[in-house]
Amino acid sequence: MKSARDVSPTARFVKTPAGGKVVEAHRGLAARALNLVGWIVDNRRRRQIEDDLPVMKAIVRRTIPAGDEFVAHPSDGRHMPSLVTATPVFMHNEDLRRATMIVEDVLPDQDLGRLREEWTSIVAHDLQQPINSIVLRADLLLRAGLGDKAREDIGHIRAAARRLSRMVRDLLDVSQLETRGLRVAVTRVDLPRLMQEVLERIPAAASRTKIRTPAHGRLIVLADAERLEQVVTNLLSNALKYSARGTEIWIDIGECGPEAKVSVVNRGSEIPADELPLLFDRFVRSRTLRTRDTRGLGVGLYIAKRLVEAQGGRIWAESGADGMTAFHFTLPLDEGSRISPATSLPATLDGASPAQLRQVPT
Amino acid sequence: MSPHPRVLVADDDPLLLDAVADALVDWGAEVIRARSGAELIDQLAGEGPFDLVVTDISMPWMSGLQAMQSARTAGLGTSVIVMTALKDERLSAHVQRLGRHAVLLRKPFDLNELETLVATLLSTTLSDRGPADPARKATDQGDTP
Repeated sequence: MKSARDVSPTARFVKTPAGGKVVEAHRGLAARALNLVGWIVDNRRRRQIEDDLPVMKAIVRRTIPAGDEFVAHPSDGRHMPSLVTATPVFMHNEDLRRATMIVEDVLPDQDLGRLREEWTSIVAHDLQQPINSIVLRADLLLRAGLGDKAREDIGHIRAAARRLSRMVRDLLDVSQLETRGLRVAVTRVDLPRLMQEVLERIPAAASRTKIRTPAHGRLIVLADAERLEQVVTNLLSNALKYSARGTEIWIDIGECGPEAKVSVVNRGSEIPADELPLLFDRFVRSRTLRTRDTRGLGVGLYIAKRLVEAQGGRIWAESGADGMTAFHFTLPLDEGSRISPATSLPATLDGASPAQLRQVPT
Repeated sequence: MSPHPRVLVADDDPLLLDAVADALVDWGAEVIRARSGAELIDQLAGEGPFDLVVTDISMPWMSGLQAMQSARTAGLGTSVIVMTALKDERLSAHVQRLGRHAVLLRKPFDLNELETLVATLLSTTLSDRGPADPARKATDQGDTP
């Protein structure tokens, strides 16, 4: 107990009519909690304001203030950010005179971000190991000459392991996006061809998706092929998830001024207009669609948005009363190769040439 | 290609090590296992020659990459598949530095991906080197206790 207290980043403090007392904290934090009323400085207004302390708000206004961030500057010149929350304590037969305050050590944002990313990559790395074992063992079992029922069950295990793996990857992506930004390696990419290749890698989508390309067949964009594949995979998996059973999905590829525009269209339930922009937030799913078979973490569209923007494009959604929902994104066209004959070339045209690296800030 | 190519598999996750090894035995390889970078070096030196090394990157004591770089420095050109669940963009470059017969395999991979890659690497390296040594035994070493 003692050792847990000594490393805990949290101090609990009770304010009573007679003063205050620290209930539980290690020495450094206990001192900070005790002195907080005296020397805390509000980060925004830079003056001592005892009445604005969460613990006083709790006593005076009888509310539970949300966590406020304070930066304390003790006399030794250190800079100590703390997250302070407070709760009023109602005593039997007594006016409200007490409140508890919780003071938490908060690391500067960049440290927190780095720690979080480190932690996420360790977890993500370690989770992929058992997932890989499950996939390989399931594949070996599928070859063991079992009956149809067993094969079907193993197929489900395999699909579940794959889904878990994608969720882990998404989590890692989100963490990296938020701490370091994204590095995209932009090359010249034959968009319709890449879309076709990506589609072929997702059998569940390939069987019901039609690609409509411009008449001349080739459209060269400046993009990071790997990241673009991730965007398209996320949009297609989204379309699969939310489209009505047995309906088709369309991918329209065309030109729109100096940009190429890709639309992934499916038929399902209408998404209310006020929810459309929110779809690209983290961990968000449509309220109206939440009861449906929803998989994953709800970060696919968020990742897609960040990836498209990192490649110089835009992404948005439209949904109509007829249940047609479209996700559109744009990418800059490669001006140099706008009018070019339709010849057979690999989807990534620059191959070995040095990629143009772009660091996108968070 | 030799009827039983000798493959050294290294991973510090015992379940995954066994899964990869079993998959390769099923595929027709003779498999030796290592559970750390140090063991990988030991086996390379003591149990060689191998037609192929399949190694994880993050392992205790010495990473799979460090082990293979040491092996390359020592003049060993064995083909290598470097498996990893790490998401570092620089890894491809590190693996490329191991030479022509080195490829990166992202975890989690399935049986087909593993087999395709093993077959590709073995066919290119064995054709480079000519017929395999007929004296080789074709036995799986199994689990080390």
